[in-house]
Amino acid sequence: MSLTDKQLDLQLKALSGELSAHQRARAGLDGHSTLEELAAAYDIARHPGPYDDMPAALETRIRLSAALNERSDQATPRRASNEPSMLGNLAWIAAAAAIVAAIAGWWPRAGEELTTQVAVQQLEATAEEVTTVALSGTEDATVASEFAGEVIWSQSEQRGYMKLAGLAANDPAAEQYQLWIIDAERGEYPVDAGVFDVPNDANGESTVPFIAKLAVYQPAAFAITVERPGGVVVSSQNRVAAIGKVPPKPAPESESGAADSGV
Amino acid sequence: MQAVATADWVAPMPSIGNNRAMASGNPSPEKTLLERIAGGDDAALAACIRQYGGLVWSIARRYFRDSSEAEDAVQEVFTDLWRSAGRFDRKIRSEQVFVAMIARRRVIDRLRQVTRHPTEQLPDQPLEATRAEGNPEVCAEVAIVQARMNELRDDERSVLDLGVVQGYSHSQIAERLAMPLGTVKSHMRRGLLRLQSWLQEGPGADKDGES
Repeated sequence: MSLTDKQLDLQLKALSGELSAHQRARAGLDGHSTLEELAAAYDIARHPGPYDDMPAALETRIRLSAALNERSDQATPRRASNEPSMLGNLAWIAAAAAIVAAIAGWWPRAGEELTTQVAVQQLEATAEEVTTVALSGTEDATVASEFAGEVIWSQSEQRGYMKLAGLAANDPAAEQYQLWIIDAERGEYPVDAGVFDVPNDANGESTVPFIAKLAVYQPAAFAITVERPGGVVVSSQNRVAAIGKVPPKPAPESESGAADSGV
Repeated sequence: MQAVATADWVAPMPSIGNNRAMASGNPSPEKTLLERIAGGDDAALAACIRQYGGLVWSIARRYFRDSSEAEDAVQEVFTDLWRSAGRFDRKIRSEQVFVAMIARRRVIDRLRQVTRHPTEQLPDQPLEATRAEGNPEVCAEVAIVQARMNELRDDERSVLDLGVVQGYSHSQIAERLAMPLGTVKSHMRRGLLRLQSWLQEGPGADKDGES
């Protein structure tokens, strides 16, 4: 197959970044593109590797963001979506959690004891500006089929609590749950929101206060992972139990803010 | 071992993803990672990041000194890969080259948005081909290009090194090499089409180019 002069010209432009996305699409160059591929082959030939791994934190970010983007359309109901979805299976996120666990840097322990009562009271005092985020359970073994969960988050307080039902009691000596806040603004890493346990006597239900360990600017999602206590080693034990995407915010300053806490 | 020079380069891809798709080879019935992703196989996403993360990261790092820019670029690359997976056709190109193409595309687009790539950053020496310790995993197509690289004319190679490897725009190359813009473009084009003819000839055609 041979390319016309015009095609070659366009591909050369594409190759050196002179085409806008629109021009590229119109020229049919958003998939295969001969000159760009040849350039890529040349590039690899000149830099054949072996390559350094990308930073683990970046890998996590890519995995989580892919999973979250995919889930943005179906944030609330558990297993509500039967339509085939590239990232629909949350088992996939479990792999991300394994990487999460590998990153010692953002693995601080919950140093601060917050009593449930105080946390809830404090938040209720600022109830008009809390955001409620429904959590969807995954297929993880810790998650019962009737799992229900929500995160109540106060942006101004930078803290919140979770109401959880259907999450298995854990043996803190064997594994613990950990909450993460994915911050759209921060981008880099999910923010640690502490480790927690679901006690045996919780009757399947628990309220868990938490506090963000770093400033959260624009919370995009909350995720609960299952981790070994103190575990920083990549292991198949690391799993995601639940995840919930923050619903789009109503315009600030509007009265509709109350809708967040409405029943 | 009596292997031809190219054989050393044709390291099999790691088992993840059964990536045996090579443009000049016989297409394997096993799906490549991108084919699996296009087919909705979730496990292939993580495998794809693992398989090509280093390649994509190395491309981004080469263009961006600022590592947070590089990181954003890498994320864009993978987002594009998930989107473009369905367009990948192993009969046209190997998966490794396709991934590198998408990576270069996103990185260069971003580079053009972010910086003018000031000419004072141009290195004086053309880049040496890096061949670090260990066995690089290159597909058959890249192996062919490597084996026949010395058949490029000097000016083609200079233009390709500046434009393709280092990411300078055509006009920057023209300035650098004191060459008319049209000449830069035709060297670039001729050089790349030379690569294409090698690929069409397939492996083994370089025998007398290597000892």
